[in-house]
Amino acid sequence: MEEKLKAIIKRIEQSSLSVEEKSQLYATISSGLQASIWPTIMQHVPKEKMDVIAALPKDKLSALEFAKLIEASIQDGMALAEIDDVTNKLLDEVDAALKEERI
Amino acid sequence: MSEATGETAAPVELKKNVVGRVAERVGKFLSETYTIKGATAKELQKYADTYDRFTGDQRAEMLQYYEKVAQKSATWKVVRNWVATGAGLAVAGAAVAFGPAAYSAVMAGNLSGWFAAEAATFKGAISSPFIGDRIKNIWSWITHPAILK
Repeated sequence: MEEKLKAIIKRIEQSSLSVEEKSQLYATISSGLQASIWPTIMQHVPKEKMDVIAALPKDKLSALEFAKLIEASIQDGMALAEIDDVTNKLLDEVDAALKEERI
Repeated sequence: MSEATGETAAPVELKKNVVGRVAERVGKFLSETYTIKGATAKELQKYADTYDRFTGDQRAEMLQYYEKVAQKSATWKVVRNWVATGAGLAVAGAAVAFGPAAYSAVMAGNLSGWFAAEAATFKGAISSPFIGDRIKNIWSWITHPAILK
């Protein structure tokens, strides 16, 4: 993802877009990437444990137990491989969209 | 603030500019990805509501924990920051609840302060006269959101 994203950033930087448009594009890409991980994470988070934690009163909420939910979701490596795939595909969409705009 | 409610995703006219068109394409991809993964607004809402109940100190504690999780993947080094800060939850909620049009509207800059604040972050990042620094700054801001609310 890093190389792909940096190549896109370089093209945008070298384009004739205004600073305003560039910053909005980066916000679009950034938000899109960040949003793209959640379907995969939700798919791998242990649902029964999530339900138990969600039902706890605030004074019983443990950041550690919540963090362990995410750890459980990524432990076997599958979720991260899927996330890597999705983020790269999202960047492919951005790349194609920019090419259509001749950027 | 509960982010994944879709409350800000009111239908608005998309800007017919580069940003709007790129946002539309990204929104379509997100919506299709969510459909394939079977994610529901209800699951996202449950996660987001629970996350919202943690304080800034507790979220910092989560990030510290994630940094120790034994995963050598470069993807995890990026994702852990997003997960710890809840980055993208609001957009995820809008994409699931309302589909690509709502996401595109948000991203085209027609709505609300949080998108404007994010765009302002990047305006700061691209102020250096050196393209190498600008690329580094933008990459850094995208992959390491620093704000723990």
